[in-house]
Amino acid sequence: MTMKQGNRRVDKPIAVAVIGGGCGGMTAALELSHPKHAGRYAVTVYQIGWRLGGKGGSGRGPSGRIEEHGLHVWLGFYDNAFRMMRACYDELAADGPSPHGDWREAFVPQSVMGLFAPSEQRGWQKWVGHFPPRPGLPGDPQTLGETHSLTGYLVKAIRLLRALVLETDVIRSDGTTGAAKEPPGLWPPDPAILSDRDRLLRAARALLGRGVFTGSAAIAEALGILGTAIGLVPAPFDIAILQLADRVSSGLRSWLEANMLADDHHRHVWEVMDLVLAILVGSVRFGLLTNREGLDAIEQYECREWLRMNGASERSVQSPFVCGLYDLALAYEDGDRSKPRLAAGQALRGAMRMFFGYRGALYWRMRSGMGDVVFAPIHEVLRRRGVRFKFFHRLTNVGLPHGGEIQPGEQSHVASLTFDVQAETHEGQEYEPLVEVAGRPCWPSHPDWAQLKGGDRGHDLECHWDRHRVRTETLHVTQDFDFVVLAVSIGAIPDVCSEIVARDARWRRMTQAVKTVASQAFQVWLNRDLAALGWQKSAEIVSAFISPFDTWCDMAHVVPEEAWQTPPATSVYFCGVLPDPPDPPSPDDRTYPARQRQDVHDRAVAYLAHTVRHLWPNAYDPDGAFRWDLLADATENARMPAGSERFSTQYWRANVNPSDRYVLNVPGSSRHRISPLDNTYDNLAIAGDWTSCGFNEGCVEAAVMSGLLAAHALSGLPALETIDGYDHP
Amino acid sequence: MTASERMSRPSPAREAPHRGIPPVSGSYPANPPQSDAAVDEVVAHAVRVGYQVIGENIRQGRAAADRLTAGDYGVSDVPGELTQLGLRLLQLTREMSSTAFDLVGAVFRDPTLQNAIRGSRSAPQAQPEPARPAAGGDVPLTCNIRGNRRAVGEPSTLRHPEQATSLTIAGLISPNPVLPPLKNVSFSGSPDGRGIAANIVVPDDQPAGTYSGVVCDGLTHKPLGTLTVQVMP
Repeated sequence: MTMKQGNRRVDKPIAVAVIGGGCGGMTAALELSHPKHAGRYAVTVYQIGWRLGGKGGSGRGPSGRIEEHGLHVWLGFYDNAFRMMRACYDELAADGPSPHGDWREAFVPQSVMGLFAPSEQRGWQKWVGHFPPRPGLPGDPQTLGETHSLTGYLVKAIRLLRALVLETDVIRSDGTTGAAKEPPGLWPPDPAILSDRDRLLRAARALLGRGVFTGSAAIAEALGILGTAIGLVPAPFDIAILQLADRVSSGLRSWLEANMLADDHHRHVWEVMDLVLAILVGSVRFGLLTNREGLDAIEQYECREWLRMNGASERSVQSPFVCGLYDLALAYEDGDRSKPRLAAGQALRGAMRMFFGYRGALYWRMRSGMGDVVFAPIHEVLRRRGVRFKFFHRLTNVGLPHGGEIQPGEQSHVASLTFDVQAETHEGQEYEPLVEVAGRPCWPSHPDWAQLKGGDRGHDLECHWDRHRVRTETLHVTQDFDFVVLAVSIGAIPDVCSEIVARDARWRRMTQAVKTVASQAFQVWLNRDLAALGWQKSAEIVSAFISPFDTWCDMAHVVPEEAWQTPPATSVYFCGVLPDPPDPPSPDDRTYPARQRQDVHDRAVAYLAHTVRHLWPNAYDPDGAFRWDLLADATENARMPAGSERFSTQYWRANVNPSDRYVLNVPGSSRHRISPLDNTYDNLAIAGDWTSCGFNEGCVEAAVMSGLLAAHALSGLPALETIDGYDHP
Repeated sequence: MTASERMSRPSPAREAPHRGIPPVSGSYPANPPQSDAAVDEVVAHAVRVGYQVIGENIRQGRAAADRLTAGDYGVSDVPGELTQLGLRLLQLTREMSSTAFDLVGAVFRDPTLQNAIRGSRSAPQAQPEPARPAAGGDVPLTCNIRGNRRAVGEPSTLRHPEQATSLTIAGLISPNPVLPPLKNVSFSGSPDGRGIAANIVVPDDQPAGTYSGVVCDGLTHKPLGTLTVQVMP
């Protein structure tokens, strides 16, 4: 085989070293090993420790229980990520029944999201948003002509706002409820109306002739009209539209003036409407509808400040809807909840895509651990394609040719890659990383020491501060690799790319500007389901609750995937940000992770002892003490610890490793991100949700997009136009 | 080793997304463009004009925000506020729709623009120069000091920007280079809706002195005026 690549012709496969087995690296590996390349690229994945997944990794502990890095959901607009996973599941099923099953079994649609807010009377007020299913499934080909335009989002925003106005329940802690009234008719009933002018005209006439609505119905109708007005601004001009505009606008004026009065609404309706109005005003005020920078034009503003600038009230910008946006994005600099920091442009982009760009369901939970649902199938597909895996390889340096500071416009390349080899298998056999639980291939929470020489179990091979190694290994360009996909997370870049950072000002700026935050999580397995404990609602994800574990989710659906002799009734996952210490830990502080983990343990015990009372009142005895006997022990020992000591049988973690830290988008930082397409190092492409990948936020979709871009950078495929959401306002 | 022995990536066609051009998603080919730069400019102009009429809404929102921030606002007050919000919605609806529709109407009534639109659908033509919004006079700039320190901002004015834009300022600097600058400065509509308010956070440990900086147009980076604050001892 003879191929041309870059500046020369080659007659052997191009050796690609993919460093890091998270979503970004695995996406690049899947693309470069795809049959469409006809074997042009020979891919080797280098991975620290014993498992793939990065921040999306998970493991199986005692009784096969799932032990996650945190709480993961896939949003319904993750089209690139879903497309990748659907292709993996299809490829595995092509040769017969697969233990992984069908992707629709692996991802569970969810359309309900809960938010908490302090009640002004007493206790907490819970809001439940019902987000109706939308046509299609994530990862489907986009509808012909469908565009990501800000105008389109604003129209959808107004439409969804109407759904919120009409469908959001309010449940106070005193048990009383309130809900908006359904109007006698919804308008517009069909998105197609906006593209069918005759139907639009008929609908408008019908609306104008229908008479008077009150309360929520009037607001909903007004929003419908407003959405139409917004939608018309950039549309192709036509006389029919102009006639419609005249008819609707003249009729609407008198109709609204006569009837737009409030009757029986609650504050959340006011707040959401206030926020949407602020976004509408801001979109016009900042010229976003036509700005060539899209939402990047407001990237330097903090999200709340931008909303305030455009008229949102203080109550609205502190509302649970906004708090939930920050909580779900862990958007607190240094893990300090007094420092919420979220760039306005990306916040709007994320919110618009989340609420108005989903297909099927608003979000999807995984049937099992993310490692098992995502990375086990990917591993199997890659193995079948001949991709090689080098586990227990910790990258320590990316070497450049000798020289000084990389000048603007200057090109260089990666000359070497140096690793600490953490462990070796017996007789050099390939390490088999998966174990079977409940009939499915899964990742274990610990390495299989039986496959490893020495079997030194005293080391944590994923810990940044544990530098255990059996030897070092250096790879050289042209001898051992041609191209590199660097897919470690930004937190680790100063450590593993010290040479590049020292010589390249752009990389220095990037590592300083792109912030990360540590996170903490715990999981409990309970002998009673949440309904028995007093939780009245369905198993939706709940956010904006009390820190430090402000986001939680009932995960009862994963218990059947575990392997308990006596299965618990449910498991519940909690997570939140973890404050950084005033001074960063030194590289020699080997006890730092253990101290942080102990702190998480203590906070989790206190949280159960006191805070969860607002959620599960029946989890407390008549004296007000948490019933620790509700906790199920996966080791199923006859002698269970009593009292709060019983929490030691559950699972908790402090994500303090640099590569485990969640990537933030603080105001003004996006412009310092470097794109996977950047060609400064002509045999290197970076990947991860910390890169400039079009959706600059810490999430699976961003990582997948970066992996697609990295593959494009090295191979020319996939075409940029096929990366959904890359060319996005 | 020489460069010719080593593989290199193909040169990328671009390194950044096309944010301002609505793409067609997925694996389908893009639709043919339905408007050219001339029409885009007309729409852009419409939006700029829309900014001016929307200013009243910003003022109302700001006033509501200030009232809610300052007052003891309770759930029982919501219906009253909702009424006001409804009025805002009504006004915004009226202004957005009338602005958009009036501009669309203007497009169709203006023979030059009609030619431009027809041209965008057939052969390229010379682009009409859309009328610029009339440049207004200077805009009042007031200071809103936040923090525990006593400080006074000097009232001044900003030149009216050529188009809707954001305001930027690098910081307020003292003539004494030893003193740290005031970095936390943001802008919003003034509460009375007639100008711009500079919101300046003065840290507790800020040394007394005079601090000033240049306010620039965020799009063109042209200076629009100066902002000066006196931090008292």
